[in-house]
Amino acid sequence: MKTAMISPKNRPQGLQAQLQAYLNDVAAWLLQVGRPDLTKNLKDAVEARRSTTPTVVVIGETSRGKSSLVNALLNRTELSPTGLDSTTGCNVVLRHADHLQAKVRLIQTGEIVDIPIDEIEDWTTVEGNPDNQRGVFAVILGVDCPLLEQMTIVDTPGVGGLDAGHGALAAQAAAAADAVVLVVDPNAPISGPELRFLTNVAEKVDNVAIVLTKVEDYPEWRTMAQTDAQLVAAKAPRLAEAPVFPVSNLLALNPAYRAESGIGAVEQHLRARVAARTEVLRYANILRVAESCLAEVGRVERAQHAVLEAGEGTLEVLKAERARLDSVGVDGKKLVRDLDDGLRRLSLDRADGLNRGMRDLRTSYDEHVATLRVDAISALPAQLISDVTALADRLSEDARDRLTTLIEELILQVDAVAPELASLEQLYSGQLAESVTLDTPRKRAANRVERLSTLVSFSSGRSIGSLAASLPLIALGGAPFIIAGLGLGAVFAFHMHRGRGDVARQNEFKSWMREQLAEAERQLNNDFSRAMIDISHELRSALAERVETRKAEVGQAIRECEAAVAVELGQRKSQAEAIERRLADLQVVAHRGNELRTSLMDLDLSRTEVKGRE
Amino acid sequence: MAATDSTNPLIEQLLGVLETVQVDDTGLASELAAIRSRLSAPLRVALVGRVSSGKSTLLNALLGQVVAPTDAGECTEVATSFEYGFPERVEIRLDNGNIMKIQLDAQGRLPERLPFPKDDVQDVRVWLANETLRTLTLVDTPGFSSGQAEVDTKENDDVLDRRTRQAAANCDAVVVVLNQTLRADDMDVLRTFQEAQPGPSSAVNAVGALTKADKLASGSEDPVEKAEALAKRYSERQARQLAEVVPVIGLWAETAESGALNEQDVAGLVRLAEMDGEAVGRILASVDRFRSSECPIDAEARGKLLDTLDMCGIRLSVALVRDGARSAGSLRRELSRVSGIERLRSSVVHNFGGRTVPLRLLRALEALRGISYRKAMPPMYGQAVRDAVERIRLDEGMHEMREMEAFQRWCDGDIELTVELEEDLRRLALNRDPVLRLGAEDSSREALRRAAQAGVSRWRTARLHTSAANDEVARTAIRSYGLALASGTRP
Repeated sequence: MKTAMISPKNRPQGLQAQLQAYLNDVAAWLLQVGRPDLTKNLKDAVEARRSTTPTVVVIGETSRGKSSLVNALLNRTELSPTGLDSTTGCNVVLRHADHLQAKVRLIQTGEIVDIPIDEIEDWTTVEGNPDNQRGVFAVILGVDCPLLEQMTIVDTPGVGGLDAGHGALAAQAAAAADAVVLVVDPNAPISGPELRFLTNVAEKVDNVAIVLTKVEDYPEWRTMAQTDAQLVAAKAPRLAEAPVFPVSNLLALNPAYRAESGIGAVEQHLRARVAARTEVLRYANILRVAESCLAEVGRVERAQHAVLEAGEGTLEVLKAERARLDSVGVDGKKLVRDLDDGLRRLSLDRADGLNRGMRDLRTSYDEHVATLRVDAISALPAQLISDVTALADRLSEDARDRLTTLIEELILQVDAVAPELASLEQLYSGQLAESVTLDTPRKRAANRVERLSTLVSFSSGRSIGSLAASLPLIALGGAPFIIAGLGLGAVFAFHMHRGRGDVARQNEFKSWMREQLAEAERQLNNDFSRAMIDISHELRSALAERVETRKAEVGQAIRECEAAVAVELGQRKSQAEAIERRLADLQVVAHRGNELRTSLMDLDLSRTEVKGRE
Repeated sequence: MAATDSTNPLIEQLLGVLETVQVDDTGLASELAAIRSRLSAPLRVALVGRVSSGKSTLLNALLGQVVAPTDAGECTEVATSFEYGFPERVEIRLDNGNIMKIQLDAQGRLPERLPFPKDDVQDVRVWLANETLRTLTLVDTPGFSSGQAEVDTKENDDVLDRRTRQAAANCDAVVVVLNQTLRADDMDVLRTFQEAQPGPSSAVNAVGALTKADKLASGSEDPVEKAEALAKRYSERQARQLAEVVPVIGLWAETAESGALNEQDVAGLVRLAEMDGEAVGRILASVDRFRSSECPIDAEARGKLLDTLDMCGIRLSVALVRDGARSAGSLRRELSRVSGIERLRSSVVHNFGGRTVPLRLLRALEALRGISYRKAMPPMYGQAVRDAVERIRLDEGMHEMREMEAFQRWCDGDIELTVELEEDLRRLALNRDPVLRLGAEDSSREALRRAAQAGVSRWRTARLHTSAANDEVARTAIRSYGLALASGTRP
């Protein structure tokens, strides 16, 4: 593939043809190396940018001043609704129109429906449309404003708030943007979540600007602007050149102060760097996507190369790990023994505790009743019942505590991993479908065991509640069963007394109590044993599942390594060489992309210089 | 060095039992020692929040003296605890075990930067002869969600870094400092804290401070009032996790308490206030205008006003001066009043500090129960500990503890109650003032008695599902009202 030299004098149409050709070549090459999914990504990116007016999407955390900025740009107060804390609930698309009008695009059907202007807030705000019950993807406002003749502006819901859905909407809008404006304020330096969101969005969009709002109120805004620029350069190096614009939205909407508000610079930037550069932006972004696709192919190829180079040493370690997992495995081996031992000890201790507890109760009630007169005695049964249930609860909680500890220990046995394997894990972790929102990795879907271990990995305490939710521990609580046995019927029976005197009454109570306590103890023990059986089952399956998953992962790794090693040295070498050739091809393709990009930038520059002089 | 309430009989009892326990395992021994020393120490309250949310400013405001450095951007480097002690001193504890002692500067402040790289430092302890610290130990933490932090790796799911997490887990109660808004990572951190606590942890030991509230209602005469609506919304939404959310302007409180504003500064504000209204409006329209306009205050003084009051504070002060606060003393008083710090102080000092004993006991009891089953614990002592734990739980004197546990059950979703009964539980668990606890109309004996009676009958006639949990909670609530009646409900 020859690389063509482009001089700035080339006509734009010539460049366009070359870009198109390049994209077709990349799409074909991706198919050739067996990545039709990436080809689709590329084609989707091209499709997404077909419409003519460029789109500027305003993103950022909640309450940073995005909606105020949009209003300030268009010089209309309260066009996009503003307020304290999470106001915008959906994307608000602002287009040019002859007079004010409003439409809604729904998530489910994608259809577009007219709405009356005075209902705008009912559709766009969190207050008017809580939890987005109306299923709005975007509200489209037609506004008579000159700036909108050159670009469409999209206001998005804030990310990082308590509604995770907002982040998804914002990310979707940003994915199809020609340019993105990140809004931050001088309240604090740009945060970790903001930087992550920005980096994700910038994978697909080349043109990023940063706007620092609320500068009318923060004396330290200049320091913050500097700090923000430094942080962006450090954490998102590709965006190191992104301009930072200080703005006061409040002043911008006041005609007396608009000139000094800083909004003019933002408007100027958008006109010059967005409106005038539609085609260039389009292609720059698509080239960006192509670059990502190629990078992905490179990653996988390099990983496979590493496997081929891995050799016998790594294979040994992998096999040792599989053997370890086998021995730890649940088919009648150590893990099961430990599980059974632990549960048995738990049961014995509990029965012990219950017995002693009951005995203590009996003793103390025996002593107590001896001091009471007839009327006082009738209050005792109710008290006894609640004391017994309190005892049962305490024991259950203890049992849960110990169960938690036991599970922790068992899971540790499965998970201990040799350091040599850590790097190999990288190869097989596959593509983490990183959501573009601010969801932390913790919120990824997990299988049952993973959930168990996550819950348990917090130290004791509060995990009990959550643990109880995932295992059949209700029986451990025992309470409903006790009340059934020791309930109103038994108490009523007690009240049918025969003897009259205090001593007679006391003796009646004592024998009634013995009966009830014995019955309660028997029932509690039964319930507990049954619960233990269920729990033992659950835990066995959960642990077995976990072991199987890990074995599968290791097995996969072994297969790949074996396939590599089994292949005779000469062949392995030639496979590695084939990969190296493909990587070299990749380099050439990528290089061609870079050169096209440079030409694009040159063209862009010459244009804007011309424009600037006008 | 020990604080109040070390004479509480139940704590004495527990300490007595713990003293008899002998273990060989050093890890276990030090855990037990830690539990023992915690029992007689004041409550530890952590301040957590994002970078630049205003934690250190708030700390200074609560203490009434400027000790912690505050600066635009990342400032607090490591967890710093503030406890009562004399002579006043600072100890920096390093990872390698060494302890370096340094002094506070001439103004009684900590240095802006530690003399060591922060990664080598375990934590910092500061002793001050400050009355607030008699009942509370305050722990300032570095902000989370920093832009400077390394990108999350697979293991590091948590928003807090390891050291801060440890420092917070070591605390009994937490003030979540929310910088004008409540965000997802704020609730994540609160959840992490609550899950790491051995004892009950929910709204009983967590409060939210909505800081920089002045920026929410720029130019308003009573910004805290405007921020109230937002704070209330948050309180309601997070009722299980936070006792309340209090709007506060830390900077004004810090300035008022530390006496940073002098007569000269106020004279400058008076001159501004005497100018024509529109002209002043123009000067104060923005920070840049204030710095550069023709103004009857010299440049240096303007800088000082911006440092001590912020732009919104300057606008408010001009209004306050117009309303009559023409001296440093009166302006400081007004600023303090408007800042909302008193309400936060009452929440932290009274609600947390006042519940020190039950909170500490609950924490100790839970921790001990878990420990008593460890292999390293000799069974004889394990049993003794469990017995002591049970005895204390059954003791009448710890009704406050049971109220908290009952409330915790609701927070965990273990019980179902009507809205009315939920309110009752909340009032009982989160308040010490009888009027608030009982929901009485006023503090007269009659009103209190009526409220207590009403409470008893509400719970007696309530139709609750039969379950041990519901029964326990009902008994606790009835007992609470019963105790109030029995004590004659002294106002």
